[in-house]
Amino acid sequence: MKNFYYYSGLTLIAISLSSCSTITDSIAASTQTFTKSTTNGTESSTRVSSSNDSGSATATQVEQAVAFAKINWMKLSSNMAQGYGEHLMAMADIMNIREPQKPLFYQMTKHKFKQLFPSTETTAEQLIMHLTIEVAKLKKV
Amino acid sequence: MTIQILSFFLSIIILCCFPLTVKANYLTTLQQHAEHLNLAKDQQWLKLLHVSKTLFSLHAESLVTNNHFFLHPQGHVDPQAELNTLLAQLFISLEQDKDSVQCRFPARFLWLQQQLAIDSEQLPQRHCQQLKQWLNELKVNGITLVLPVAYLNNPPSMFGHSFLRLDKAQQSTDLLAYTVNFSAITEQEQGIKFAIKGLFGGYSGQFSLAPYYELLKQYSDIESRDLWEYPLDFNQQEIQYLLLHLWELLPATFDYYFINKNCSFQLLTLLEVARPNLKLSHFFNIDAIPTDTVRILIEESKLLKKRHYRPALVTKLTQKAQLLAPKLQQLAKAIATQTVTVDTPAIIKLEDQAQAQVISLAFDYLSYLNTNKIKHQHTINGSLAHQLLVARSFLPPLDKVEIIPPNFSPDQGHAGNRLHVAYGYEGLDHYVQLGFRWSYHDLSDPEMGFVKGSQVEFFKPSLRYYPDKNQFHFESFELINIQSLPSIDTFTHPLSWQISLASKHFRFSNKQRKVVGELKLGGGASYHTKRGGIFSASALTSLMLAKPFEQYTAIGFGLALYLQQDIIPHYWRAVMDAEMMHYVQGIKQRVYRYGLKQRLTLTKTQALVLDLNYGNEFSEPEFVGQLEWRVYF
Repeated sequence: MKNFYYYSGLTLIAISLSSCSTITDSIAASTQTFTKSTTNGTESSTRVSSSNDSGSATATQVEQAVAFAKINWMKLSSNMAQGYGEHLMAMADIMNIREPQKPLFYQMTKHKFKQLFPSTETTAEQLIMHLTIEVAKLKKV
Repeated sequence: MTIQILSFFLSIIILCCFPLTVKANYLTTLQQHAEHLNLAKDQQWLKLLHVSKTLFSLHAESLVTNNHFFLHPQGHVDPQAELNTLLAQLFISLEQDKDSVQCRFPARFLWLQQQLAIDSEQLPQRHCQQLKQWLNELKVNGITLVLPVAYLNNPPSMFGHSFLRLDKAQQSTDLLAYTVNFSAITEQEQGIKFAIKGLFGGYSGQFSLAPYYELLKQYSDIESRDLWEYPLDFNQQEIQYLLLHLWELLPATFDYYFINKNCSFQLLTLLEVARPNLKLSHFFNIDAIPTDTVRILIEESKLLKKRHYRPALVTKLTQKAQLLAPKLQQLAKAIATQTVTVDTPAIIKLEDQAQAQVISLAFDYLSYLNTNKIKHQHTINGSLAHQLLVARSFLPPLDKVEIIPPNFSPDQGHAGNRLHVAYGYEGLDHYVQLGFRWSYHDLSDPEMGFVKGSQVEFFKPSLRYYPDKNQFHFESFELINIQSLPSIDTFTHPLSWQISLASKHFRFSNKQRKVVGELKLGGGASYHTKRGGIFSASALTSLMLAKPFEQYTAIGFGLALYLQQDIIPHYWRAVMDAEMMHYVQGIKQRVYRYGLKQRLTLTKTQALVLDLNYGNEFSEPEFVGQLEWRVYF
């Protein structure tokens, strides 16, 4: 019985003092599509983003956009359906949308939501592809 | 002729060797100069090498454990040798610039260059392409300290965590900024091994970079923790130096101790390196609790310009729900749990604005269930999420919901250490009691800056003195006491729970008081009233160890009711509680207690508590009254 006290005590100390411990496992619980519920979201963490000033998406930008969409699937999609929100703003930055075009971009995600997410199986890769196409159209206007 | 030949050869010799001798001379000059200035003992040099004393070591040693962090084999214990080696290596020729001291340890080099006024012309030129590229990509123009608060229904997390955010220039949101996180590499160990290694060393810690949105997902969505962001007023030069040192630190691994050499300690040393006149980390030789470190940052340095609140997913859900009528809340819940469909007449007949609100709320609830993996089969439903958003995209935009931040941020709360002096009576005996609590917060402490209905007390010994008998004794020792009383509402149903492990005096027959070891567990439900009170009911079980019990052990079951109300918010709190335990094993006894407790907040560091109880313990019923003065420090 004394051992029980001793061990439960030490375990409690450990639990209560594990103030700054690890952050590895739970981000993996992120959503990639509306139906598939797991993907490893930590893949982007080691890479530092880069951007260019040309106003068009580069390979790394697409990669970054996909990683961002995977991890923030629920928030990003709901921002897009509303036409505003912090995650949508971040996506505009990743896709290098110029400042004056941003309001158009935000509106577009709301108006064309059904085209951007044609089904529940839409993946992050497909979403970014659709977005890139729509952004190209915006830039022509 | 011979003289001419001789002078020719001599000039060749001089021409060949002169640069070498000059280099050697310059190195010796630098090393002597450094020794003269006593640079190896300079605080900044020791900080750059992360040399400090730990609780368990006799002499100063670096916390960094990998050899690559040092140029000299004894660098971790010999700062002088490390300094001389660094100076010497400035002059060596290398195939690749990136292996040079300048590129691997730019912060050390820059500091020495400034201290010794090193002439770059005399050194081989190095081009640190990778470092430049890294700095360019990070594009940092500000540093923010981020503190996630305790998460719902997990009081121990109030010890918290903290990390730095490297704010990026020209971004419309902070989501894409990178964060600097120091954490232990624990490899999923748990239980006793985790405890011992964490407390006495054995784990390694490491700095890592990750986008802010990943950490938000972790803390804000999955763990339901609100975050406080404190922008630091570092200038561009200090930021640059911090990054140069971070560059040195990223490959390094550290000895990790939960209590004092944790994330908060490491972040403070990083800040100190960037601004050497900050003297912060010496406050935290014994323990470094993240919230305390923020408090010290504010008090000692006036570093924090302002604070920004970032509500967790669950906070947003709760606050958004409160804006809607209860009927509409129920409707949103019914849609999210698929009791009704999105095109139900109850929805269609609403105005567009209300439809949008209900559908938004339903979606938020769905993502809350989804991220928290509360797996009712019908809730994680992709097609429902898709359906809701498509419906939402056809409805007009809504006004932005402003989430109201709490009145106080964590740094405005009381400090965790507490001393208390009390005068009380128990039956006919008067006593004076003196106690100490290492950390951190109990339900009757002033609540500013803390999560409501959340208590963690750890390491709390008390001494008692009876003036009439002139008698001293060790009254009680509470190792740990956790209580969590989160509110139940339409969308969330958290379980209230408590656990405590203590040894304290109980009254037995003949009014004799004896030491009892007690482990107590409880579970129940709580409700936070609209007027700021808490009502809670729970079932309890208790395991006691003491001599008077049969086989030294007693087991009991019981019930507890708890009612808390602030009479003057933040200043005067009243708590009523009742507890009934039925001991069935070891002793047959019904033990009850009724309590009335009142707390007055005097200042930020002082409070007064009047605690009145009536109960029987293992003897006749008695009144116990106590007036307690608490000091937080």
